[in-house]
Amino acid sequence: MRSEMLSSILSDLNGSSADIEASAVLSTDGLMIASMLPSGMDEDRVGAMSAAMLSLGDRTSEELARGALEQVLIKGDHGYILMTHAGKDAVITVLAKPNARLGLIFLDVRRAAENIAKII
Amino acid sequence: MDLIKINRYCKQFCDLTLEKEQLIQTIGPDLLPYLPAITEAFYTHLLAIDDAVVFLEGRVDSLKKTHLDWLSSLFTKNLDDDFAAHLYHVGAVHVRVELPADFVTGAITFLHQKLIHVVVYLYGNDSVKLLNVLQAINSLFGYNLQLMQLSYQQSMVTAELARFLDITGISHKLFSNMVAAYDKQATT
Ligand code: HEM
Repeated sequence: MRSEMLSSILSDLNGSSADIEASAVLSTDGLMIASMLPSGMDEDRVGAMSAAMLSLGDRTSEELARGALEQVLIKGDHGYILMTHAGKDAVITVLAKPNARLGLIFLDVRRAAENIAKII
Repeated sequence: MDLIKINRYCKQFCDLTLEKEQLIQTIGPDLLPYLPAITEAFYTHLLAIDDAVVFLEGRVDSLKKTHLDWLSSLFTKNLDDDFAAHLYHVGAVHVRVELPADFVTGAITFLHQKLIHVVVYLYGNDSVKLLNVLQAINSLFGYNLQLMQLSYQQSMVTAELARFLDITGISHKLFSNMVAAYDKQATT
């Protein structure tokens, strides 16, 4: 039941913008909870890397006096990776295209994160 | 960590054979009376090394006792898996107090040299026995050093990892999951 609800949130998120290519929900320990990832992408690695980045982001934000972490954004040649907390025990990771309009994606991801936090 | 395997591995590497172990036990009673003086000389030596003094201040007497117990145990106890476990623990304690690993190598070299002196004094008239005893003691000290070095390596990696995780905020659980994710990848 829970996993269906999470999958439906991810599905809505992926459908909300053509710029979003994939998304996943994972525990802060790095274990995958639900995902809509491209085939061939290793779920365990995505989970572990995302949780580690968020953990490091938490520390960096705190260390550099930027307050509580809202999100971690990474940009590569082939697009963006956006990570944000979904409640205190989960993380949402989104992969977006290189020319994505980030403002809209931030909003959609924040909404999805709030919905996920209610379920987890 | 498989101490049975590690113990066997170090003995094999240092050529600490059963015959040598038996010989060490046999000569134990001859050597024991000399060990307190060697311990005294060891601490006099250490206290003359500036970098070592900081580790000894305020606890020389208790360390001397600890040290003499260890040195005596080489000639009185079986060098079994409990012994290996104890030395592993000693390595970890040294890492905890941040004693540089090379101190242990220097210490073993100094003690070995002192024992050679005693052995030559005791058995110098019997060249066959002298050779056998010198070889046995060489293997014995090498074995102790190797065990402590292995322990150092492991404890240092553990300590450095703990520090890294502490700084980054990455939990042990998350780290294990990362390792599992990449190990799995490596084997598929
Ligand atoms: C042959 C090399 C050495 C051996 C076999 C040896 C053995 C030991 C043993 C058995 C202990 C007690 C561990 C326990 O708490 O159960 C110990 C602790 C200690 N050793 Fe060594 N040791 C060696 C070299 C050194 C050297 C060279 C130094 C310093 C210059 C040193 C400094 C210390 C200190 C400071 C402790 C106390 C740690 C604490 O605070 O508990 N050791 N050692």
